[in-house]
Amino acid sequence: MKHIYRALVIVTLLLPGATALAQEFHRISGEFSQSPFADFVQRVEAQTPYHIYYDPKEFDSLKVTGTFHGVDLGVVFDSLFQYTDYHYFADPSGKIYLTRGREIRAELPVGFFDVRPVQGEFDVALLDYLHDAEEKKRLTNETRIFEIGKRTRRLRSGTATLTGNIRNEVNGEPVVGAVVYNERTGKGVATDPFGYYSIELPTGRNNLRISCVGMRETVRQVMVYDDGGLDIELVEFITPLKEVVIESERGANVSGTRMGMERLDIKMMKQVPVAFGETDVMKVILTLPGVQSVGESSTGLNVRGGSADQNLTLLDDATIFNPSHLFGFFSAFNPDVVKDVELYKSGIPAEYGGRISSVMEVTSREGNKKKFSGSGGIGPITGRLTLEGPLQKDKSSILIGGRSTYSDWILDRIPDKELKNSTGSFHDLNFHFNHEADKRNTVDATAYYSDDRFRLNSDTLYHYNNFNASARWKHAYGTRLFSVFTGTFNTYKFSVSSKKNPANAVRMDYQIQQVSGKADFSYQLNDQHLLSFGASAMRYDLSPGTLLPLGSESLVAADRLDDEQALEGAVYAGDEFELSSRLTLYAGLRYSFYNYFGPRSVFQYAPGQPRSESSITDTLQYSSGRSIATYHGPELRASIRYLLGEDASVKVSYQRMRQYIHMLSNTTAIAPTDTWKLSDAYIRPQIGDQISIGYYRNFKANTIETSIEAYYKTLDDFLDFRGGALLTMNHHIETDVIGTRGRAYGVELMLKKVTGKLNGWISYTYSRSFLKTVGTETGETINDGMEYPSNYDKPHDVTVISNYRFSRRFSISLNFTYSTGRPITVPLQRYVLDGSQRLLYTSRNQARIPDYYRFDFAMNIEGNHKIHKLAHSSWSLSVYNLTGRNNAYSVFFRSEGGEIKGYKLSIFAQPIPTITYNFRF
Amino acid sequence: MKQTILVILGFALYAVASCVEPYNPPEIESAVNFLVVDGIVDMADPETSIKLTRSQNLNEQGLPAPEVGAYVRVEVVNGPEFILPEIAPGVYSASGVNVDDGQECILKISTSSGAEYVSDPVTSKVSPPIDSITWTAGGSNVEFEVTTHDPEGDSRYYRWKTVETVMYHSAHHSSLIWDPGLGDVRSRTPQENIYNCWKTTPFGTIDVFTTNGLVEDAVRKHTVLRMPANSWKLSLQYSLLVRQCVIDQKEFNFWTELRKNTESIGTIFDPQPTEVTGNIHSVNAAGDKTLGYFSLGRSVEKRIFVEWSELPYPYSSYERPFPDCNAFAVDTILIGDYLKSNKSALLITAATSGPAVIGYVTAEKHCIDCTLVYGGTPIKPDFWE
Repeated sequence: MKHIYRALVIVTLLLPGATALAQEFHRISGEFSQSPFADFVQRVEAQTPYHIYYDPKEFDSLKVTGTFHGVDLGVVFDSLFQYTDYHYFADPSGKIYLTRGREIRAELPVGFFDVRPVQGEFDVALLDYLHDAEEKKRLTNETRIFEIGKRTRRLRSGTATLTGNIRNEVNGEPVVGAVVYNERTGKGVATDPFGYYSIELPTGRNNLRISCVGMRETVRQVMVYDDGGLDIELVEFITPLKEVVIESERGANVSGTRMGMERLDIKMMKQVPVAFGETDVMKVILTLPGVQSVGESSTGLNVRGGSADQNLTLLDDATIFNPSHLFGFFSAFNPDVVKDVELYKSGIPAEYGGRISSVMEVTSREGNKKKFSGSGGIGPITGRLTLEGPLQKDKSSILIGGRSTYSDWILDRIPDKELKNSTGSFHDLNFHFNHEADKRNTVDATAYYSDDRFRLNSDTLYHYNNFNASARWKHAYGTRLFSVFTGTFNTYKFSVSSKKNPANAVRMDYQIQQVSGKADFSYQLNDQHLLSFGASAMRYDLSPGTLLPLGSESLVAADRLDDEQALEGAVYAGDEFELSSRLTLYAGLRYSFYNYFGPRSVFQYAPGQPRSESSITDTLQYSSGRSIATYHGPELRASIRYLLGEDASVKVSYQRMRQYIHMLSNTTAIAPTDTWKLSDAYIRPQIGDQISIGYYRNFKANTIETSIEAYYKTLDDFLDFRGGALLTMNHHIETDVIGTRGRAYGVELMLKKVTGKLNGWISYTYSRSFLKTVGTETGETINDGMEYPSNYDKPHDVTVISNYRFSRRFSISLNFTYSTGRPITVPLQRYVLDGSQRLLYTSRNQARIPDYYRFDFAMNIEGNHKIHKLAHSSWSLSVYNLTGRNNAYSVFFRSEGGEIKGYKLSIFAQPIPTITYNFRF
Repeated sequence: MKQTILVILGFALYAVASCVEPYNPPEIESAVNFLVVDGIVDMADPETSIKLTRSQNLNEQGLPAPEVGAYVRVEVVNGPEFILPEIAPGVYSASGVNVDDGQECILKISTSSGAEYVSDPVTSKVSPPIDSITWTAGGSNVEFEVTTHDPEGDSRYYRWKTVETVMYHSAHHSSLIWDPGLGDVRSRTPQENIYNCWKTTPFGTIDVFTTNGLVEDAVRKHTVLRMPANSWKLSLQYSLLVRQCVIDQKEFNFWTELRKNTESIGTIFDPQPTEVTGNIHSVNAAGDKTLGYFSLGRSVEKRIFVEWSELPYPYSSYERPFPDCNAFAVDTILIGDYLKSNKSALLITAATSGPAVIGYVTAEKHCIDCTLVYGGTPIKPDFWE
């Protein structure tokens, strides 16, 4: 026996994935016609030295038909047993064992060597060798053959659809983005946001390989008779040692049809050091190639040369209008609640629409369906706590997470006058309910609430809220058609109040509300076509500004801008069409329509004259529901993937996006008083077109991923504003907008090492972004109508994210970021007016602030890894801006005492060490 | 322990108190200088004067070049034209320019190089009287506020200019003076006072406000100046003159923009600096920018005085910082030689023993001569109480 196992080990090592096929057999000859199996065996034993062992009861129904002339016996068995659950196995001494239903494994289970090194002798039964019950269960599932569909004696030829849910075995959470890969056909599918998958399989035996981020890879052997279901549970790496998180997506970057898309798992994001010790989704997104921001405290993202308002930020399908907390030092997403983030920079599928640059979808976690648990953390500024547990075991769960600052308490104790006059606080709450009614129906309800207040060394108090709620019903019709119905509601409101001078005490309120419903369907037409289609409708209600006096002494006159309302609808259909094993095409069409309607009064302007207050000729009153402006248009989405081999591919994509809502902002960073405005009779929807091409290549068995992507995009009807335009409480914003056209292009290079003790990525981006005044409606042009760099045109960007695990309890991370300084407008000349020096600014964005570079360091120390203990805790120590470099946030000139002085403002002008304590139970 | 934790926690926030340091980016040089019209004409002044200069590059040293030899006139629409002759390089001034309140005027400039500039028509506006100037000491600051109103509701846009006058004294009062002609020490005359000084400084900051969004055309306690309550300026007596003009919306926008570009800048949420366009245009060349603004009006003014003793505790009892001043005693006989050899010393007073002068007390000049300390003048202004 010893020898046999030795020999097998060698076979396995030399030929990974080899089966008995690899063995050489004696050749046989003969003619059989409906011969009983026993006769066949007799004749084989007569011609060869083999002894064939089998259970005649299991083989009595098998009849042999065929003519062989010197055919290898292995080939004969293969053809005989194809699409059946019969197996054969030969040992070196010339014994052949035939089995039914259970295979005598000619290889050690997957992961065997990961668990224990080959040592000593293997004279124990395999399963008994593994002490761990979990291991046994896993290996049992991996070795067992699952029968799919109603078992038939004769296998029908063709294909069948296998569907099911992939879940986390520990907490029952669906596993998103897990890849189910059929080794027989070389095709794979990924699970949707509900952990659901649907794969077309040829009937007969198939081996499925299932892998996902942070999960242990597993295999399932299925015997497919007809359509059917198979749920799969994956086990998390509890103690990540060598196994590294990103492993699961291995190969997907090459073989997937998506390009310009990134999915980040919360575990991976937690490795990235940040200021103030709390994992910040937006800050991690910023480290990706093609994503930039104007400065350190800005969470406004500029994706591939687009402005910050051109990104659709979704939390569980509902829009987040203000994704930042506390001047942008924190993002709106509580890291304990976030599950993962997807960012689409190009090749956006047809189901998404509404913004022209990117879609960022943040998904919150479902509560633990198996047991009650909690987690939390204590950092220098915030504390957070999340509780979760089953309502009905394995069926429904609930999760509630909260986060709050205690910064006011600290600010009060700091002996600094500037800070004493400042306040800043926020809190947010997340809620997630999930219920799996049955195999075909799942419902989900989520809610999010955030509240921010701050005052920056002045008497003006800013206050803003996000409130989001969404409900989803997922339903499967048979095995091929699958639907998700989603309803969302969200509001964003802010108020600014100032009451230092009672005579001018005032409060300004802004609110935007969205209600939407959508239905998404996906249909696996056949092996080659995956169809998706659906429709959505969204109603906008804006209260763009209400000004109210505060207190009885206030002289401020109440003022109110007319409410705005609009309906945006869309229908879409797309097809992912596999033309050949190398070539896959995705083609989608979205058609969106938009109606802006009353009640509202609309100013009319004298034709041919610049639009201004003085050219108003008339005011038209539109009654409730009467259409003021409508826009509609097709949005084409297409992408092609061509495999150049096992580990390389080329992809090309094109997309058109339409955007009906615009941010009114004339600050470089997103200010808390920036408002959103709907397209109306004067403000046209923005249209963005992008074409991109990429080459993807993996090395060393997919452990090193490289890619190069290039893009060119145009942005039409982008909004810029006249110098000095007042953007809040403006009754005629159309007199202040400048129609602008944008253009952006760039190349993104990425090198990612996903496994090993040292992992991380290096990215380099070259990108340019330009704007140009094209509209003449308001009579003002910027830079004389010449093209000028946008505020976020930062040509060179290098990011290095590295993580090194010394042991399962101790790891360090080091990040480096470099980027070209952003463009600024600098004065051309100075002059003296009324006794003071003043500056003449002419051309916009003709100079740059100094280049930016920063090192960050983090260290994670985990507690011991006993699975059963009261609470698991970890400490993370991070130093943001390790070298203390005074990176410029802005450069400005101020007239002080009649003189002009130039200054540089840095936000984090010194290293910021932070210690955070995290726990979970 | 509690303290340690606080320090650690606080440290992170300290860092947020961002850092601002002087910085000069590489400059953009312009070969062209533009005409700058300092054209705020106040009918309350006896002389109407307009200053013409040229803009300069940022790194250029010295004062801006005056625009000399221009032909400048103010034309009343459907009325007379007043010519402003050049009385000093770049200064064009005349008395007797009479523009009735509410009349429209145009400024016309022809430079010696032949370029023509014309302003938009502006209407002469009269300011309503200032109701009061008040001050309050809140927190660590003293704020001066203006209150005014227009019962007619026509004013709406206001602009204020402030001029401060600080009275202060030097460290030591000198009663004696060395008279070289006399070759001896004698008493100072009141005209030779160098103990009390007055320093007058106009503020160049832009201060505009509109009552446009208010139910009444009334400005209540609008802050025109804020200064630290422990400022040396409040060590004795302080006076603030507030001059108020009424402007139109266009001029209001001009000053607001200019303030945004050059004063209220340097925050996290700065707007983009923009090109600020005035109301004077080149007739010949569209690209020839003209900087500055032409406006006409009749201002009103009001003055307020603050005594150090009126300040609330602890500022009323504050020791204002004086230069570190020691006094030296010098023998009577040597005093002439001493003062000749030590040019930086001045006499304070005589040291006496009974009726006899036994010596003199001297100190460094800057301890005695108030004009050397903050640059004031020992001449008491007429308006001083």
